[in-house]
Amino acid sequence: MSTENTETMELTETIKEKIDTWVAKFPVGKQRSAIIGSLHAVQEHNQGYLTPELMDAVADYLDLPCIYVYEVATFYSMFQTEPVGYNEIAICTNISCMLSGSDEIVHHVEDRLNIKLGETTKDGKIFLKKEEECLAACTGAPMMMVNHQYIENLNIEKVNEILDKLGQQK
Amino acid sequence: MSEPKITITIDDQEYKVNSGQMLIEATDQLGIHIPRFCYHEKLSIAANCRMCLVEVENSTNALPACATEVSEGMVVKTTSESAELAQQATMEFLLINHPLDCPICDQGGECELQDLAYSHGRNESRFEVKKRTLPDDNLGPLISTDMTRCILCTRCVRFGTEIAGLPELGTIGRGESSTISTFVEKTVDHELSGNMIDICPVGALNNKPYRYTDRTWELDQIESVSPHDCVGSNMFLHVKGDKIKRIVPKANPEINEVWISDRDRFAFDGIYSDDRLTVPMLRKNGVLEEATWEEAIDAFSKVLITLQNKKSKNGVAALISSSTALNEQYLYAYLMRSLGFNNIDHRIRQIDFTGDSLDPIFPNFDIKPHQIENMKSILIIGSDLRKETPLIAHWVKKAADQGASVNFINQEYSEYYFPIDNFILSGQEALAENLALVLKASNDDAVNKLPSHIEDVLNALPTPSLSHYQIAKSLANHEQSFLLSGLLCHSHSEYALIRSYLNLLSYVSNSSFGELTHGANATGAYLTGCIPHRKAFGESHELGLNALEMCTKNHQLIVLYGIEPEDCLYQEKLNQSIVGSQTTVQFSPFITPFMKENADIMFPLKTPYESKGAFINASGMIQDFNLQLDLAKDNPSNQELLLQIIEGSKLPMPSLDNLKEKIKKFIDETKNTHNRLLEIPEKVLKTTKNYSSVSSHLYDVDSITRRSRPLQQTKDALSQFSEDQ
Amino acid sequence: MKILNIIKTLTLIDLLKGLKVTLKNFFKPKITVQYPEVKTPISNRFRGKLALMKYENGEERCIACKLCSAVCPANAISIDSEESEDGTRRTTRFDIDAFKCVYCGFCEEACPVDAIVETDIFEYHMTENHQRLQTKEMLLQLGDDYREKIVRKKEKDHHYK
Repeated sequence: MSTENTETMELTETIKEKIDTWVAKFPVGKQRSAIIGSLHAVQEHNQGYLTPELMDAVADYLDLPCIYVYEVATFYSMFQTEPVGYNEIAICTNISCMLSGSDEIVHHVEDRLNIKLGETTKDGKIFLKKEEECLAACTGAPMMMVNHQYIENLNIEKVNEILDKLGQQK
Repeated sequence: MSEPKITITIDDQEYKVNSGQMLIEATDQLGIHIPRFCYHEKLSIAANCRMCLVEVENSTNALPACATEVSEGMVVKTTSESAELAQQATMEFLLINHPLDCPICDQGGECELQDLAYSHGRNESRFEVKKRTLPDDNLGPLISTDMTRCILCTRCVRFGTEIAGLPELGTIGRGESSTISTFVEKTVDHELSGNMIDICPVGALNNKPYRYTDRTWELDQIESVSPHDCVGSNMFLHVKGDKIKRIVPKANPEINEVWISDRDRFAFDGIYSDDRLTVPMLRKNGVLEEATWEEAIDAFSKVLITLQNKKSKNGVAALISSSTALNEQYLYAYLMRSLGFNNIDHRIRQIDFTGDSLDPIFPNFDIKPHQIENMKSILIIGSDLRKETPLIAHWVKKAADQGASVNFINQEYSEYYFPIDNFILSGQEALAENLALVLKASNDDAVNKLPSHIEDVLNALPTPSLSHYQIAKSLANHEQSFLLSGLLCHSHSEYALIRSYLNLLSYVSNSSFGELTHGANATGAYLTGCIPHRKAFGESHELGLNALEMCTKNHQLIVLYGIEPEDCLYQEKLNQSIVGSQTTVQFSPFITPFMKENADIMFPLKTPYESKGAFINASGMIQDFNLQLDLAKDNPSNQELLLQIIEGSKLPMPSLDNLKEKIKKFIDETKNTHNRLLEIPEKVLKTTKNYSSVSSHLYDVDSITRRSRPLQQTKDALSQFSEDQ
Repeated sequence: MKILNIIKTLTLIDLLKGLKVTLKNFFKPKITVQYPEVKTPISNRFRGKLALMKYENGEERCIACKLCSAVCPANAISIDSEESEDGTRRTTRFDIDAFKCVYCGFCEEACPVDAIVETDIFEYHMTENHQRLQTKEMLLQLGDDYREKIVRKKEKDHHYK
């Protein structure tokens, strides 16, 4: 369907396999439902972000119009369409966390890394997600998610510890 | 409708409505207005604008009328306090981010949001936060965007998916940052994309050529019919003073639903081209000079009379465009025939004339365009359908989406946005043969058997393939089956044979048959006698030269009416004939350098946009156009011009009274007694070996579209240009 | 009665009555203004010749919304517009027919950007018919020339609107 780019990027076999397992989970002809899974697979293999070429390739492989893939990719906060840092930090700022002082933590992280929400550190190590919806861990508020792992009952010390650890990584 | 009637109460009044429909459909039919933005009768239901909230008894919340099905005993209040409150709240939310730029917005004055803001909006905004602004997308030369005005009704997105079948726009992002966009820089290229302008309820998508020029209240509306294809789409010309400013569709459920193609919408720009001819031109002492109308008419009549007396009647070639109005064609044919000139033709895009003796009185099209939707099996032969007749392609898409089996036998592959069962890519040489194979496959187990001499011809052919059998089976199995022959067939070097096969196939498989024709009024040209072998109303006549023969010879006089050599499939030949002929007379709205050099007399014509008249579309529907029109008043109308020439040629004046009624009656009578000709043209000699390039171009169909600046900037036109290079 | 009438006529009583009024006013203080040497004060809301205004940076105010020509009861304003080079909506023609204009001031009220204003100029003339058309250039020039006066006038009236 995507006639736009005649030279569409070719997906690797491993990604294709992953996409195929997703497609197999849905009835024939409903491959549109497999977009989220496919994009996860692609993003994982591309340093955590998507490019239009990759999205076109997914659309091409699923035989869908490109715009369907763009829509999904831009809608969900778990997909990035710009290059981002290797480690992803998402601090919850929803009501429970906010009441427990998440704003303070955001300020602290911003000051320490010298970046704003939605930006990546200069060394490309840490990406601070712009906004995160409630992650359903209100019992441990305030909380944040580092590389898809929940870290609860945050305080400044705990945050420093985590940032130190991430900063030492190569 | 057979659906059971149920009783519902709307605003304390009981109504009987059909079950199974949404509340808003019922109220629309009853004439009760419920405000809405995202609901559109031709699109799916999204229920995302929430403007149509109404109070329904026993429901705690107000319900969206567009997504609430009617049910027995339902009690609805459309103007109650809670309904109004809900609508006002919706409006307030919609206006949070909508800019207050109505004074410079082209939608101002015809804007659904503006209208409803008057009835449901607050006087003052309660929001002090900054409004959201969005970057504009470049969607190409036809649609301008102001995305900040968008209220995210997603009508355009649904149009792309459901009507065009080519999703180009989508909702990008979410929450406050969501926007309608193509995401990557990309133009919207579908041939119906202009309709997004009409369905956009606000000024987010607008007509680009019309941008910032006029306000809606300054324009007069004139009913018209498209002169660019044989569908006859109904449209409104919006006119200020004596200038056409824009064109919008006029709903006609039998022809174009509520859509028109981009060609119909934007082509009119061509009539304001710089090379417009406004005064008659006459060659004096070798130089083409401006002349008065009397001089030019005099000169032309003199030439006509001389040639008539000289008994050299075969020295006259008269070509006419198939996109001219009925009365002009009738007068032109009358003029030529009465003077004894038999070489008259309009088929300048046809090269095979061997089937002339088998010609129907006028080209077949058994059904009306909208009936294509009900067909269960459709076979399309030799057609670049989307480019030839975008609206017919739309009806075929509708049928395909409802499960019809659509099959193609075509010489070139082009993309279609609906499911296709079989696509036989035949190449030019094998088009007729592939069709014959389908016929052969159908004949094997058909109820209506073919005459034996035709069976003999078929038996000589190879065995049909699986696809041929599948197509044949699909046509035979469905009572509602339809054969559609495209413009590529018309221009094919075996046109006569193809048409015979189609007639036979339609007889064998009991299918309806439709033939697309070049121009807007080819049917009219057949009926008024603008063909060499028939007079008006299908009377046979002494055979004259056909268009191809005319173009391969030199003449004492060659007359082109509404034609430019560029329109002709064999342009080179026609050019040579013009150069070699003694006198060349052109009736044309435009003047080209070639004609300036070679024409001896030129009469300026009014385009179909500026004159009154009637077209007969492919399926024989007569439609008047521009009845209320009075543009470019200085020059005589085309009809007056022809009458003056007839007078100057000392011929009795023809009567144009009731011409239309007579033709209508004639069409009705002939259509009923219409039989399939079960014959193959006698000479099945492949004389013309050079299959000329016949692929039609979307925006090169006539002199007007060629000159339309917005259309020539589209991707379609530009890609054609690069092809030609 | 006849005799009475004759006496009235002969004694010129009616004439004297009239002269009495004349005599009375002859010595009263005069209220006539010696126009054009002396002029009456003009209200801040006086509606005179129309002008087009610019922003302080010299940019035209008019956005070619055509609301003035729509509201004009005399059809005195004719406007053509198109997209300008910088993508804004601008007029290419803005003509006011001075013969048609009735100085009602509706255009000024309708204008969303205060582009068209009414000055207090009421003394002007023309000798040729075609001069009745005030073009965009003339209107803008007028706005420039009388800018201060117009602004002052509008400021004074501002509180009452």
